[in-house]
Amino acid sequence: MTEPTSNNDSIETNKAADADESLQNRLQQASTVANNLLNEIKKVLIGQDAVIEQVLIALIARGHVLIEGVPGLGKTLLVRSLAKCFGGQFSRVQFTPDLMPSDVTGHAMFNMAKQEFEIRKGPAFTNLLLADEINRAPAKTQAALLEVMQEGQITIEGESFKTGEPFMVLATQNPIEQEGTYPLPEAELDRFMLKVIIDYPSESDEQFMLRQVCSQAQGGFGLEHIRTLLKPAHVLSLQKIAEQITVDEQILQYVVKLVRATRSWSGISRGAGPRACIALLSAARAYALLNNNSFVTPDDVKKMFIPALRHRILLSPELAIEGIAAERILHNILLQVEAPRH
Amino acid sequence: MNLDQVTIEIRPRSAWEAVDLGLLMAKRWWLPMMKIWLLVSFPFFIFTLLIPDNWFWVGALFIWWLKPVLERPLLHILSHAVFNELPDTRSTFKLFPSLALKQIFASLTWRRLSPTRGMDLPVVQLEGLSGTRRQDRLGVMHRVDSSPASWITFMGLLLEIFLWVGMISFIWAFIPREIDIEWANFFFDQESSNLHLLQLSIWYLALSLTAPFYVACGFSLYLNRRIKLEAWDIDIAFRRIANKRSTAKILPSLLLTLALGLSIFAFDAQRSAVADEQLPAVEESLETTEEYSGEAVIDKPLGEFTEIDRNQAQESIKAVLQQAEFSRKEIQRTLKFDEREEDEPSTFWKKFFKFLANFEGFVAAASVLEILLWLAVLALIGFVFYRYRHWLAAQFVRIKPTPIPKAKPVTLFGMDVTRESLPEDISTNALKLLQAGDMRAALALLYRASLFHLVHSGVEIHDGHTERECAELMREHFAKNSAAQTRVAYFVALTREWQRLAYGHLLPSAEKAQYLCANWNSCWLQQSNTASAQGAAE
Repeated sequence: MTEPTSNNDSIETNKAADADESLQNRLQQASTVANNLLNEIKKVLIGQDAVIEQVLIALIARGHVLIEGVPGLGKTLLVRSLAKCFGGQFSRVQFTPDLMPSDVTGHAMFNMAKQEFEIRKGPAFTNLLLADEINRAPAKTQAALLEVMQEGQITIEGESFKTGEPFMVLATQNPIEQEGTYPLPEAELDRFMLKVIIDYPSESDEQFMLRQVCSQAQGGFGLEHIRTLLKPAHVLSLQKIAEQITVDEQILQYVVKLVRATRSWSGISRGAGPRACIALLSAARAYALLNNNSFVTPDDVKKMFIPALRHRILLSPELAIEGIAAERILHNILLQVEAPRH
Repeated sequence: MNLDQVTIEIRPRSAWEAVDLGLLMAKRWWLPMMKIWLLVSFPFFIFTLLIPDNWFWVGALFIWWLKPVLERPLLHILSHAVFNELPDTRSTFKLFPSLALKQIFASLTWRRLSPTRGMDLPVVQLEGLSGTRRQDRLGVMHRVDSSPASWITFMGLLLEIFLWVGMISFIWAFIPREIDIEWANFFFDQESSNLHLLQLSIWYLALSLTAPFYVACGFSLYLNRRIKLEAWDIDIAFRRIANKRSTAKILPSLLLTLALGLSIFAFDAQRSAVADEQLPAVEESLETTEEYSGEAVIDKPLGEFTEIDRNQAQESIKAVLQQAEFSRKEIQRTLKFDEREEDEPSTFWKKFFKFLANFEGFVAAASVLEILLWLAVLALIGFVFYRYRHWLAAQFVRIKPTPIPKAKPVTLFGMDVTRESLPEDISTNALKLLQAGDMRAALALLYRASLFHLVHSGVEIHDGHTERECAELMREHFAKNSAAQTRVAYFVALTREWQRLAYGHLLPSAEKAQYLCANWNSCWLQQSNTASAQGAAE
């Protein structure tokens, strides 16, 4: 008989409980703010609640998002409305085969009048960077994003410049067209916290969306109706609060166990790396925040497991040929890896 | 047959050289042969054109099948032309009915597909042989130098087909590219072809082009064989000698020579005599025999030529063959080791084989062996059935697989969920733990006991299920059971508190813990009885 009494001592004392209460209050506030943000975007982007939620999670967890979906599902609209919601800067780069790295990051230019070099900052110096159809640019240009995504800074002519705070890259790619595209390198893929699949909205949602668009004066999407609910600084504090969410030792073990399972699972030829653990835990924290929880439960981890891992594993050729999706394998892992034990 | 008038060089040739000669002959008399061929075969061709379109292949086969008959006038022309008596078309055409009807039934039935048809035709047509005599004659003819006879038949057929295809291609080559037609279908597709008449005409043309050459080659092979058999070349040589020796008395010497030749080749005299009935014969010149009174050409006088019948000839042949010249005895002497037959093993083996040779148990042994073989076959079939029984069952027999009884898990989330690990009274024990200040242990006991009951009430819980998912599963499981709703509500509340405690490190309020501990028995034990009763009733 294993009576779980060993952790009894670790429960906080009264003093700690007070601090905990203030944290609870802040958490409550943060959760409300985040949910308001969610609802505001939902007004414009109809029928994609799960996608909006995941993008918000990535924003709160300081991650980047790779959005995959066919054209015309509102990927750009999502990013623009998100940017408007928190009053952040937004820039969009359409990736083309002849796009150069300096077109994204910026470059040094000699000013003839002043007889000196000037740094021209590229579109990456912003809060929200929409890299549209990222797989249309060759690997060289895709790699220009590596530094800025990981470090939040860009080095031009040996000098590092910080990007805006908060900074988030939202890259989109089209799953159907394969001709003239360059698949993202693994290093690049690994830097995206979540890969979000955006699918067609349901019939009723689509009807509702159409009705709403028709009622707009100029056939716009009603972006102007979006209120700016908070400032970029508030997003930063949201991120900080999310980092204070309690994570039990068992949860850490569960995350590691899940990620390690992808490395030895039959049917997966290349599993996820340690960065996946970090991403999964951060995302689970942000998800808990969004759900007004002061602690991460295994359910939060499970919820974030597929979006955080689906782009980090490489299926074995047999399964790839059979057309089995990575999601199915990840789902099997979730079913078979033991949930935390207490 | 007049060898003086012969228009070809008479000498023994190899078989293929004879075929070559045949081609030359066909070239030489191509025009008269073609004339008579067209005259004879054209009516049949017209007849084939009247055959309905969808039966056009019958027409093609019909005209091809009649070839042995249609070729006979060609042979008539050749056989006379060789002896410089080229008959005119009219007389040949008049002769055609009699030529065609000769053994027509055999020619068009079982002899039609004979590969040596070309070489055999002169035997029938020129020598007029039938039955066993024809067979004997053919036996002699085919003994040597007859292999090209089959080859020319085969190549003739190929040539006909190639010519047919070639001419169709030739016509197609003249169709301009701009006219985009599916030409292959146009000619060869049975369903869509409108050009059956054209195809038939081309086929007839191909047959016409081939026939003279085929007949000539067959005839030259026949002629070559006869030249060798009857030594026509020697005959002609003698004639020349005779001509030289008595330019003034050509006729007597010629007669003598002829007599000489005929007596020398008495073997074949009978058969060739029959052949001579058909060929332009030289008998006319024999009438002048009496007039010969000159000196002997060769030293030894020859016996008088006498007509002998077939049987006499055979007997004389037999007599000649029995002479010493045709049979020889030879005695050969060679040295040989004197082998002593003392070897034990060899006698043993001899005895053994002798025994085996007279062994009567073979039949019994064979039937035993047969039985064993059948048993082996049956065993093999049985083995195959046994080996692939699962596959066969899957293919042919639909049996519902026996459900695997699922073992109830004994541990969940690392906790023992067996009856033995739990105390008798859960509520009392939990309250005791609570009073002792061990809230975590109290909640763990409650949760564990709940899971135990959950597992045993039929909820399937796997390793991968989290606490919240367990609550969801329970809610789904008892969705239709209104009596169990308080239990569901209790478990949901317990799960929430347990999660807060385990993952959030947040203690539940004392009242809440008290409530959960006190109510466990009332929620689970009493209602589980009614729930299980309900379940049994359902």
